[in-house]
Amino acid sequence: MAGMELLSDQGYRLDGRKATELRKVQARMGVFAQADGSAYLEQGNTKALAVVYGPHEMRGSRSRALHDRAVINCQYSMATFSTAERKRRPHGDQKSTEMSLHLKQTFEAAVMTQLYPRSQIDIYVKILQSDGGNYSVCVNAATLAVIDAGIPMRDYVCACSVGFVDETPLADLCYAEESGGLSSLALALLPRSGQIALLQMDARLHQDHLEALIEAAMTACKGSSVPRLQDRVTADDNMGLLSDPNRRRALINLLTRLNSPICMICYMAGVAWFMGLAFEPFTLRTYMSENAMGSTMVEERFPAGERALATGREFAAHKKKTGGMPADWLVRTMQARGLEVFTQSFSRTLPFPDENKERYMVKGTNVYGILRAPRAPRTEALVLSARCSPGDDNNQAVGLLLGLAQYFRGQIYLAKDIIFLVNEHDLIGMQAWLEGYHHTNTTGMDWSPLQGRGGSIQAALSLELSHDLITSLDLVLEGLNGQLPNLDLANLFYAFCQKIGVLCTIQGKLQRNDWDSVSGYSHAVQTMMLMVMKQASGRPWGDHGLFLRYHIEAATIKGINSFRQYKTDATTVGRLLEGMYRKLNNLLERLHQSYFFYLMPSLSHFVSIGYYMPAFGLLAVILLLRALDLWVQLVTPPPRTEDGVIDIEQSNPGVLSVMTPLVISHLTGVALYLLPIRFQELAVEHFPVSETEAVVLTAIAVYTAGLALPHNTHRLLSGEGTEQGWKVLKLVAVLYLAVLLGCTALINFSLGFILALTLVPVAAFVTPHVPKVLSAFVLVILSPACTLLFSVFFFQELQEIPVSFQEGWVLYLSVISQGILDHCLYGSLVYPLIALLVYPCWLLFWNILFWK
Amino acid sequence: MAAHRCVSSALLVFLCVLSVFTVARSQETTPPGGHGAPATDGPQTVTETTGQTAGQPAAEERRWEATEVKEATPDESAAEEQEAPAADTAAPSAGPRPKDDFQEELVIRPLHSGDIYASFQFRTLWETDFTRENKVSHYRLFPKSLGQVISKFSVRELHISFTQGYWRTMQWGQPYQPSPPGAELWVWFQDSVTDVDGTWKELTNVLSGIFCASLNFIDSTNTVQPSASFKPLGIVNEVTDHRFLRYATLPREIVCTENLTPWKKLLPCGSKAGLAVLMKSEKLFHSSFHSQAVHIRPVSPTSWELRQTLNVVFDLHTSGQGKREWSLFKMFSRTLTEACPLASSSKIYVDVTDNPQGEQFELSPATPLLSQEVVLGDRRTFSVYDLTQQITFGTVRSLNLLIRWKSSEGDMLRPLLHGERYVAGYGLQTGEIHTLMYNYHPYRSFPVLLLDSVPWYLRLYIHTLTVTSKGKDNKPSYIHYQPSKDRLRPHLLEMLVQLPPNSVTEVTVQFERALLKWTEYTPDPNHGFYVGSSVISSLVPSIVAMDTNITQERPLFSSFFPCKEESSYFVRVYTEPLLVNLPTPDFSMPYNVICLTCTVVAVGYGSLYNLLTRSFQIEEPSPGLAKRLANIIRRMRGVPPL
Repeated sequence: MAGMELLSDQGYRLDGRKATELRKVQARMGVFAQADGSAYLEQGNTKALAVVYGPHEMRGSRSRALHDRAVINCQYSMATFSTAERKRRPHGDQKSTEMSLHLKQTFEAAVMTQLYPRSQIDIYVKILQSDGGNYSVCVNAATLAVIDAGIPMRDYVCACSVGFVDETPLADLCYAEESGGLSSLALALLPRSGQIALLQMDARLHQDHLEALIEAAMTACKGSSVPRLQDRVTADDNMGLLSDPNRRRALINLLTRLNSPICMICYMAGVAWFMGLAFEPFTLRTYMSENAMGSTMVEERFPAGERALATGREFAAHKKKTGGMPADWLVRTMQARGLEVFTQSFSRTLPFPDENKERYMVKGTNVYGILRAPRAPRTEALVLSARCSPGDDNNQAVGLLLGLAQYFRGQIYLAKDIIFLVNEHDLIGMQAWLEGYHHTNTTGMDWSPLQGRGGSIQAALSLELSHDLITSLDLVLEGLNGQLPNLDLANLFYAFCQKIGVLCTIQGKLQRNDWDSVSGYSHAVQTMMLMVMKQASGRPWGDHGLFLRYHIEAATIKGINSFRQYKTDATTVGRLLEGMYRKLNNLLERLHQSYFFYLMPSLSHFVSIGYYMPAFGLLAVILLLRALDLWVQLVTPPPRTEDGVIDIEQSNPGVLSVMTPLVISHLTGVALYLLPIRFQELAVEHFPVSETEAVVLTAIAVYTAGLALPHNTHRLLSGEGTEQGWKVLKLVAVLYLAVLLGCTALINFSLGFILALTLVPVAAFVTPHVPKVLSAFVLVILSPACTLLFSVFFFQELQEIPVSFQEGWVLYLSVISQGILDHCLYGSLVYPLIALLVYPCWLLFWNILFWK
Repeated sequence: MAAHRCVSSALLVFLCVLSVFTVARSQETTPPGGHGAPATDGPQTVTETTGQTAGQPAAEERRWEATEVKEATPDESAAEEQEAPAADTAAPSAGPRPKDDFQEELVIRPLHSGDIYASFQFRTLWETDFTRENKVSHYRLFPKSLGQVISKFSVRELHISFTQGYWRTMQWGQPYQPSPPGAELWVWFQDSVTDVDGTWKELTNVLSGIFCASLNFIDSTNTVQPSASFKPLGIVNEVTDHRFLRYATLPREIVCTENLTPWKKLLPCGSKAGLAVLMKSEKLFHSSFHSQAVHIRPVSPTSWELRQTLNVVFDLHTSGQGKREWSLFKMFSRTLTEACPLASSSKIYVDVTDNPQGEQFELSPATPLLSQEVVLGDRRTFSVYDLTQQITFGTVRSLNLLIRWKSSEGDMLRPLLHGERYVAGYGLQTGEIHTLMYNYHPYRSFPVLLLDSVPWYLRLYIHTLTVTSKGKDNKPSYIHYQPSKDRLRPHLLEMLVQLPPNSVTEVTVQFERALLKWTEYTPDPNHGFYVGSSVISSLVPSIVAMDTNITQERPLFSSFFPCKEESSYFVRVYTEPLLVNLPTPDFSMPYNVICLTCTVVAVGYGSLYNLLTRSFQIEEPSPGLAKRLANIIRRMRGVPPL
């Protein structure tokens, strides 16, 4: 070997590569905007630029055109500065011509020229810097350019040059190696098929070595990053077309054609699923997920039930004497029991008089005593509360509370402070106390700040007990806005009731064992439906309800006295509470297992969120199906031609026609939300009604007035409502409803489900083309207000206190006033939700029915 | 007023030195001739009951007073006249005093709630120099483990307390040694220490071993360097630069018998003799409050003081029978039979201030000795039982103090300073820390120093800091705020606030709850995260100065201007620690589902992405050691590598 050593003893080449190692490849595509395709490729120091024009009509003499395929025209050139010795390279020298020809042959093999008969594809390649392997770099660059031009190819072409020295093939030769006088071979490969597009060798080589050399060249071609580069380029291009448009079209066709039947089936399935939730084999047994909370390991020793009842009677006497909260007596009594006692006074003027509870300007005092746990740093607390209400109500609860306070004071095992709270004016007092404790003010109530605290409250129980002897204890879980306490609290109650042997109920319903009989099943359905109704109402169903906002697990325990023989005395109830508080006291963490969303068909069974959500999902999917149908209808008629442009112009006023009803119906909603309370005085002046009646009747009036709107909406429009217009409006309304119901169901499943049950059929069937009178009637029947009316009757029916229509109507009015009051006093969200969002949404469908 | 504030803030620093002595100044009773009524009455009634001659108790009393004065001398002289070595030399001149000295005492204070407060103090004084002589190897009374710690880590002062429970200031009054719930540690290092943080880290780990506590959890995220609140209490204060101070609390620390046992072992007599025999853990932890502490400080250039204190409050209601009656046996299930033989003094004090005529409770056996001290700004009277006297144990050779309540009437003097803290707001995003400071003094305002150390995961919005008293904005005269660094350093807020008389001052600051990384959650994150107590330090105007009767007891010429030493006293109040919930993923079912789904998506997407983007290269087998060495040599020779 003369001159240089091309391959060192250690197997390294001149530039430090191994024998089979390729040079570094870098590429950029779409270098020029003008050309159809262009690419720039660097392979080591060799740099090439490739540009593709075409396929286009034949330039020059048309006679060269081929009738069955395209002509590929290649031009190869080298820049004057591309090599070390700078010389003019006239166009068309022999070397270039030869290279052009090679390129042409290569690409005629690769490009699917038969797709472009009588046309021409121009490929221009220029070497900007030459460092060996010119041909292969040109081919690679040209392939990238062809890909960039979007011209179909059988396969990418990738090329590589190989040399042979010392019995070793060297891949991807550089200039020094090429000029070193070894025999080299250039090969262009279609890597997938393994076909050779071009093979060129212009030096002598022993035949025995040819096979090895070709093999090395092919490996180099396949292994080089060029085909992968090309692969990636094409993958990027094709990403959007991965899904098969044909199959998608078929699916869409199916969904459009079978839309109505599918919707019907979904609705039925949703309702059936929901009814199935109450069937015992489909539900889960409740179990204590917090290990620390089992009913064992605690011995209940509370002895002083009778004394507690006596205290309760004393409390009643003092209550009667003071005519309200006997604060002084309570402070003294609690202090005597070794508690730290504090009082809180509060006052609140209701937005309008509450006729159910006959209160308007409320002033009261809460008294609470904190039992400090020994050796505890005041970081955690539990709450036991009993309300002080007028009359003979709840005296026993206060007595029992004081009895328990005395009992717990003597115990050493407490690890959390216990706060014994007697609140006046039930929920209003509770609201004041909780706001004071957490130093927030959400509803504009006046209260005096609290003096003593016990750290963060972990759990709370509220006690309602109005009899000396009771037959059963009822557990109330539903809190503000349908929030529920952790299921473990219910489990705890159930476990201790079982242990001590107290009858326990939920929704006032005992548990039955005959789930397989019809009556047993309907019993479970009733229990569950009661829970759904109560949860949907969004109001706190016991004094515990407001705790839940502060992320405090809370429940109300209600003593029920009926005509059963089996009676439970106060000592037993006290023992039950003792056990529960000891367990809560032992709990090291907050109640946190994921059971915050559930329905209970009985105390021992629950339906978790994973089971009841499909019922809602099946209803909600109807809305999406209808929306899809409408979308397809809106999109399909205009193809992408010049007509389409006109259509789009036509639908522009359509957007306006959507906005107008949207804005108007929401304004009606705002009126429904604001007017009743704002205009109560005005109404009282002009009509012979009380304030409460004024508020409720104004609400109903505004609601009804909203129904007259569609006749006026179109006056604001410039032109006639088009077919396109109502479809767009309905599409918007349906999607709006879907989002609205979905969000509602996540927060308060029951409310979301009941609304979906009535509003989804409305949304599904309403069009301007259905019979007007009948449809209007159905629409009104399924409107939110009528849903509420039916719910009232249904709820009474479930409670087995059926009412006549007259009574029901009165109840209905009071429920409306209660809803507004709950919103103003405690921040319940149901009224604003209905007024500001659901009602306007329903009005949109009303609008569609009367579309002109 | 301004001049007074100046004086008082100067005093604040100065009296910090004194503050650990809750006994601010021993009040000498005047000789029997010029006595006030209660002082003489006590001994006389006692004399009658014990049936002794009147001369003997009087003699005893005088003798006791003389020793008391002598004892008080070194403290006071050192405290007030640091530069005077005369006083220092005066103390040893009393006789050939041993180089170390041990004293023990127990103070019992019956509380108005019927509870009872027992405070043990053990003091070891040792004349040695840990700093200069490197080899202090012969230990007698001073515990070797602590001595080695002092010399190894160049500790100037060390204060450590373990507390279970919260001191109920409003029911129990001020404690003799305040401490926050959990563990508290603050240390002043010598100025010779170069790497204070490193030394602190090591020291906490060593102490963790000594006291069998989780002090090793002290790291940079809960350590602060207060600029004003914790001044050295030692008499010799060479180091006052707060760079050498470290303060940390562990509010979550649970204190139990395993912490008590090593603490007891530090005593010269262990729990074998003396007052320490009363420390039965099953009784000490059957209480409302339990606090144990160790304080080490230099009291002169050559002598060190180790003070071990233990404070317990026994609860009337949980003690069983519900009879308002306490005895040593009932409290500790032991009686006393002897003093610790190594102790130079061993005494029991019972606070009988509210019971001058025995109308509140009955104390038996009665004692002829009375002592009057000004404690926490209030003049208190104590009955004293000297255990080194055999006569104290009577004929049965054992002492079982009995306190039997007669009436539950009577009001406790309300503490003048009181602090409270809570978190306001709901939800898991933001919140507000409210700190309330009550000044119940009827007409004096005084400044307090508030120290708040908040962990980094509560991001304080310092611009929302407000200080209001009586509905008006109260501008702090000094604010030192060091913002936190995530995962490195807590917030430190120090303020000097003037509390108007008879008012509540409210300090509020809003915060945002940080999202933790999933590995940063504690094993039970649903319990909540603790924020340590804030510390309120103050010089509180004395109740004695507030007392109008003072003019009757004293000569008229001495009572026109308020006496300086008694006019204010040092108090440190700790607020409750806070338990704050941070946004916590429910590490149960939905969390698992989310994790699983994310994993599946990640695996699916990841492999796809991988397929699309990865380039394959043949990796060279790494050259062997010999080859690598050869290459290094070749490179040095300038030859291309193999």
